[in-house]
Amino acid sequence: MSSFSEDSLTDMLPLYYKRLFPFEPYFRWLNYGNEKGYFVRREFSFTLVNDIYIRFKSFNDLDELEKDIYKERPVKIDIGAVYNLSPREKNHPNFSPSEKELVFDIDMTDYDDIRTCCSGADICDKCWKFMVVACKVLDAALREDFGFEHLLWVFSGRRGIHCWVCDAVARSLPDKARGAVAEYLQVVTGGVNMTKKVNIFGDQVHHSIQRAINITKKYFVNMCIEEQDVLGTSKGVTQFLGAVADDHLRDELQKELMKHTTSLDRWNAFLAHVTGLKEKGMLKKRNQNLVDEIMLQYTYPRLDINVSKGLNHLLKSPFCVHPKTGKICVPFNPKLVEKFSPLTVPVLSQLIEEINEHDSKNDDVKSVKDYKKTSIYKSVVIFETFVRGLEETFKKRPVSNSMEF
Amino acid sequence: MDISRKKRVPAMDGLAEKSIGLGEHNHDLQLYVLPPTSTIQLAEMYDLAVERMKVLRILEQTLPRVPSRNVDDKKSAVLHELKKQNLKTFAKLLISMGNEQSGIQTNDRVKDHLSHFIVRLAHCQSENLRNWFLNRELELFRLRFLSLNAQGVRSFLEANQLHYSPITDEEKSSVLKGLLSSTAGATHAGVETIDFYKVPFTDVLDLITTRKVYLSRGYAYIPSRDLLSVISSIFRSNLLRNLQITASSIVDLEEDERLKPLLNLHQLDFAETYDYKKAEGVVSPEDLDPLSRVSFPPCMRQLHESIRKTHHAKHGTRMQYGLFLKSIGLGLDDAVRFWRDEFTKTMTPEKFQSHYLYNIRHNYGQEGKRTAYSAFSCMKILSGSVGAGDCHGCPFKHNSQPLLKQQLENYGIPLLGIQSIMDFVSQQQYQLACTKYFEITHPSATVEVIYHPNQFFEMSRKIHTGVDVPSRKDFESSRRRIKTEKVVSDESSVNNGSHNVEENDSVWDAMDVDVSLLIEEAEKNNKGAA
Ligand code: SF4
Ligand SMILES: [Zn+2]
Repeated sequence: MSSFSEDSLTDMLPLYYKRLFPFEPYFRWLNYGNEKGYFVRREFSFTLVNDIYIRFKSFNDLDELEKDIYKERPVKIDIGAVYNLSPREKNHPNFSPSEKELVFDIDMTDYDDIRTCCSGADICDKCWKFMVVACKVLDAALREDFGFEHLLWVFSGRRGIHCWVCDAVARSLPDKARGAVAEYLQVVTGGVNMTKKVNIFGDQVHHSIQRAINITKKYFVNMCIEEQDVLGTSKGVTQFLGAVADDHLRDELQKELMKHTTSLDRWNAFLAHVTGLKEKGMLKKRNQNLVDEIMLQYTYPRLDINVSKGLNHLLKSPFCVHPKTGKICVPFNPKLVEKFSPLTVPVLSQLIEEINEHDSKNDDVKSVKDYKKTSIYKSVVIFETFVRGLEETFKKRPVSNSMEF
Repeated sequence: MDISRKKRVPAMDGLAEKSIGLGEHNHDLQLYVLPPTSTIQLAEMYDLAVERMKVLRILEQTLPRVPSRNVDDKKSAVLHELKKQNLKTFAKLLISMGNEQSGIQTNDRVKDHLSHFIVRLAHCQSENLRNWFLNRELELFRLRFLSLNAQGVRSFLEANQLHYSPITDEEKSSVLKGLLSSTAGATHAGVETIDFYKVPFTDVLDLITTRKVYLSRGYAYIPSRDLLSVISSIFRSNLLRNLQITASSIVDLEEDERLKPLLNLHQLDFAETYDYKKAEGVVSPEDLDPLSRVSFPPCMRQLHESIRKTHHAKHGTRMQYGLFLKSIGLGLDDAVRFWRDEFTKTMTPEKFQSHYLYNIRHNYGQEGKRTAYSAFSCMKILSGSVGAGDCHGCPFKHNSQPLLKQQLENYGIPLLGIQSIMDFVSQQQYQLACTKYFEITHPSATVEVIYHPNQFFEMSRKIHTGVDVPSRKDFESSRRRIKTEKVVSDESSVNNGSHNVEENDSVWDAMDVDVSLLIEEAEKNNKGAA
């Protein structure tokens, strides 16, 4: 496997677009069965070399899109909203966004205060588990609570994941409704100045929170207590106890926890103390859900909800190449997210070597499609399966939504 | 300003009869679906409109200042103001239970109906105006809906042909577990006895936002008391759509000289929303450090300090702080300079240019739809969402208590003062906590409850410099303007030839205008939709 250098990006991109980028299913996705002239009113934006940023590009068809990408060789492609008019008429007084997929963006930077294995742009299989949990929790909520079915999950190229909800109902949600969905899914609140970020009041726990608790429970101890070692240092303990709102209880716990040295022992001491109080009926009403609150604070998906709220917010397209890592923003199957590792995601330079290697060993050079010769194949298959699922719905109910608004 | 029986045009009574069954005047509360069809004097129209504008302005000014979240407290504060300003009809309508005992006459309903439509006409031209009007009308509608008793609600639903029917017992038992765990405030006994309605989640967005209902496969299961949520979302989307339709057909009306004062109604209003245009450049980036220490409310001081420290700001911060700066008089060029100087400490000027400049210009209405955004009120800041990694919001609410204490200490608040501030915080009375903070940092001043960061700033500037708040003066003069114009039109009706009277004003009188024509013109596309 070769390593990737940023300089070579500009040399390799033309090849990538020519031989590997899955234009055909990509177009079928964004064309939505040619519903309401969708594709032509869609905003694309390109980032070219030297940080040149072009907004409001649009294309009449697949051919135009392909040619322009070959010509411009964008370092990054963003997908924006479908507007009421073609983005070419962006100066028209009535020009405004009308539809877009409902999107979610989860980035590892928002976990920096609770991950200890890496920092900044780095990522490893340990901290990736935060993304695994995030994907599971959101995927379940979007399907079970909101009834969405066509979710495209994509690796963001470096240290995060995106989700594109493509159901017709989701695409036509106005800003306000997007905001409501996003806030429904935002359980970890309070910014850098708030040490307690999850609050569950009362003795009934909302079903979506309960489901999240059930999912995260399976990961929490191994992921946070052991691997991230969140209670391994006294700084970690202080931060952890910041999530206890009650001064008295916090002091008590501080003493209990510091009797032990390892993260796991401290966690068990915490559990024992809180459960003990609860059994004796001495845990204040406000602290009844403390254990769950803390688990969620450390594991519940941390969303950048501004990305989800705005119809006109752009999001990096699937199958882009991340300019710093060379990794492809590949779709993945949420059911198998545990098997997905950001460390084995295909890298542009590697893909090109794979083509060359295949071509030098076989004589089916022409008859086999290039992407099938490389490790991007699997991702394209996942993507095509998603697109086919979407296309089924156009056959079933050609125009109308399943829900009235 | 009451429409006297004598003056009232007969057509209005006719209208009342005609539209029975259409959901317009057959209930105290209306969705304003059908436009009025009657003839009325322009001057009368103007009076009606001014009266409703006063009501809407009361809502705008009173609601954010009620520190309690209790609806009844809010309502009584509004009622008090309505009575103070002698807006009798609306005071009655506000508390009507929707049955005979409310003492509401048909002509009260007609007045409500007409004035709504006239003011609507004046607020359809820009997105800003539409939003303002929409939000005020929604506030009014919600307060009024909550006054209805059970029978009032039922007859309202009937009158408007809103056929919501409860889910069956079988369906209920199949989702019982979810209803119990996820319906806010539900008890076992309660869930079994009350009716639940199954509605698309998009009908009850506020309940979704706050996670107060059981939600499954895109449908929310709401208890009957939460119908308000559904009805107000219907009210909202109806009105929004109609405003847009009206906007697209109003062009013709603008040419009608007689209507100018009507269409400019909204100008009578905007003075006190802290959206006034201050002379740009009153404040320069160099002033911000000292100003932030002396006169910024904690929410803004915290952001300022964070930007100076990290040289960066997330979206929420750029909105909350950027609009605040705009409203205290930091001009666009200065704003760009301020943000650029900070951001380019950690990024290239090109990146700043391509990623952030648009956003800043946008806040100043220089990009996109060119709307002039107003600075956030406390209410907006307090109810906004603050995600992990964000530092905007209100420190009294969004900061941990130990950290907040520390901050107050650093700001030089004496220990006793901190204690009394924290007491308010513990009771979740954030605006009162802020008011206390103001009192402590500005001793010997008489203060009103803090409801807007810019109000905090202005009160503080006034104390420090002795210069009065410009917005206040604007507001007063705009009030006077209403009165003067009224007087002018009264005089001119006596003396039509008066030289002092501008042409437009004299047009107000002595001329009958067919409201139905005006409004139907504007709403013609609406017919199908309604
Ligand atoms: S109460 Fe209002 S002005 Fe005071 S800090 Fe909070 S948001 Fe700012
Ligand atoms: Zn790691």
